[in-house]
Amino acid sequence: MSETINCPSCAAELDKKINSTKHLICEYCFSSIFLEDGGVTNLGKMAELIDEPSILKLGLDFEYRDWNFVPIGRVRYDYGRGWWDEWFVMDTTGETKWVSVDEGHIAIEEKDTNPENASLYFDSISVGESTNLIIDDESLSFTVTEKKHCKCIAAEGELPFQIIPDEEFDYVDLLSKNGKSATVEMFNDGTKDIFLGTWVDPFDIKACY
Amino acid sequence: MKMAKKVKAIVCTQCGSSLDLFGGHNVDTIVCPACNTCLDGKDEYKAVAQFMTLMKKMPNLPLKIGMKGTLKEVEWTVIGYIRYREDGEKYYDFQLFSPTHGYAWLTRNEYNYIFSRDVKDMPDIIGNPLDKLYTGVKFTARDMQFNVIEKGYEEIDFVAGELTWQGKVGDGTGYVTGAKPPYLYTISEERNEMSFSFGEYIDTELVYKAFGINEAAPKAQTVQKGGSKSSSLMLGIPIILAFVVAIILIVASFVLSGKKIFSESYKCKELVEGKITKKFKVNGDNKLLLLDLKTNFSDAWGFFTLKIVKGETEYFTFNKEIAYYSGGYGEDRWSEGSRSEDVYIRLPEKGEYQIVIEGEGGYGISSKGFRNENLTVSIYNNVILSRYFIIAAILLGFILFILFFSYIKDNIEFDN
Repeated sequence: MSETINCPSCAAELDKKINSTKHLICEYCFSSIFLEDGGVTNLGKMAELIDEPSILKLGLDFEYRDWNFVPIGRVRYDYGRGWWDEWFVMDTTGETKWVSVDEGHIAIEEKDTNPENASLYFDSISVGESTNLIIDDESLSFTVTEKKHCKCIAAEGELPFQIIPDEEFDYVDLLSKNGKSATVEMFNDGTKDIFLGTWVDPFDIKACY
Repeated sequence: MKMAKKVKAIVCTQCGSSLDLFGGHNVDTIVCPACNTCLDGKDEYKAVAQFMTLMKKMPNLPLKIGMKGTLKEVEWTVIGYIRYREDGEKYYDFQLFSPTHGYAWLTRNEYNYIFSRDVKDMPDIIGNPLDKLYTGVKFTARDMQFNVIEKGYEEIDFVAGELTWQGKVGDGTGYVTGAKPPYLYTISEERNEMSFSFGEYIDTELVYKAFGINEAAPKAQTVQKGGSKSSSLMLGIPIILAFVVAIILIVASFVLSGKKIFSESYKCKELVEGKITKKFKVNGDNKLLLLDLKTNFSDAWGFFTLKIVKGETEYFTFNKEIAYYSGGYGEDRWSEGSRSEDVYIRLPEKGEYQIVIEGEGGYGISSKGFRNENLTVSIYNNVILSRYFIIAAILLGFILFILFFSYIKDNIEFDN
């Protein structure tokens, strides 16, 4: 059920679609609003996302095979020679996932909570090396396709965690032989988040608007 | 705060020329058209290689770098170009870029266009697909069954513009392509890295219309149900004719060279000491026969008289001289003459005939003597004269000339 929040900067009415939302970016004044314990904190201005052509658009309906979803938020990360978008999407049942989009390289992933995967060490793994991850109760071999450093440069919409502009971290992209994908985000405090999912053919994503 | 617009032009780090960029940030290689230097798109456009042997101008093809067109409801920009060679054939790959759908390829092979893109859906093959798959073998990928139509190894011989990988002239790729018309699935292996692409045949007119090419689209080849391409009329008929004529010539040389109905060997001394008379049977009227005389002469000559008779009637009498000499020292050898002779005769009616053979001869210093040499007489029935083979060979040559001319014409068209 959606909830309306007033922007602390411009007072615009902002639609909050999911309860777990921690961060909202005002679509009018680009204020970065942190939501916690029923309170609203204005964190300042968020960089406006440059209007580049994208396969997904905020707030519109899309379909991947028989899965319908709506992008409700987006974070953009710069990795030096370019950037990619992480779209926070919600399906018709209210479940959320992440759709990673980098010039036609698309993966639909969700945060992994498997402790076996969490116990793995990714700091010293290199591009081309392989490691096993548990996905859908199956141990699959993944190969590191990319290992880089990135910086959060912009965001929009509704997001499940606090966005810190210019936050930097290392990440590892992995791919299995059958098209399963994994992303490991490694933060400066030693913690990491693992996201597991699948590679997606951009031609399988259809706009439904 | 607005982000800066991304760079759309760079300066060649090798020669200083200004280069317009049409691709996105996943471009790996940019080839400077002025100096042919390959610049690393991932590392501040540092020069990676310079193709000194590749000072060729960009072929004058209908699609040009920078052209925009809409295919599969997506707007694409032509950003790069690769030409492959394989067994004398050429393939043209145009690298396409869309900010929403990434990178794709438009391949021109003869007059077909294939639109393809990299996919991560693997085929249902255990082990290395390139080892397991051969022409005619079926495999499944993307929930479709593909029939392998091609397996080979191609080498790059020209690159231009922007590419999503470090393509260099001379790089080779092993590949297997399966077809489920109009779809194609290709497995490629380069530098121990396997990649998969999914494509489909695109109507040539559609490509021309999409990219606004204002010239008549060449007639496309069609794809048959089994996945093989039918030949164009220009090349198809001569190829079929040449094949048929070649088969006829091969069959004729074996089957129509006649059936052996008589063969015997004699010591020449038997022929000197008296006539030899032997019977043979002809099983049809007006049949052409070949009389084949073979000797093992070495530094000897023989003069043979042969007669073909039936009852009291003498049909043919002919004389044949066979002489063969050789000599020399070490590698400086010489020879002259022949050890065999052929005679064609046509007998008017079937029945039992007789061949009467007599001979005389002489020998040189190194010979073991004429009388100790052998003569083998063979008779073949139902033979066809070699002039028919000559006519067929001329016809085959003419067809091959047409094929060669067509090949040259196509090459000129491709290179220009």
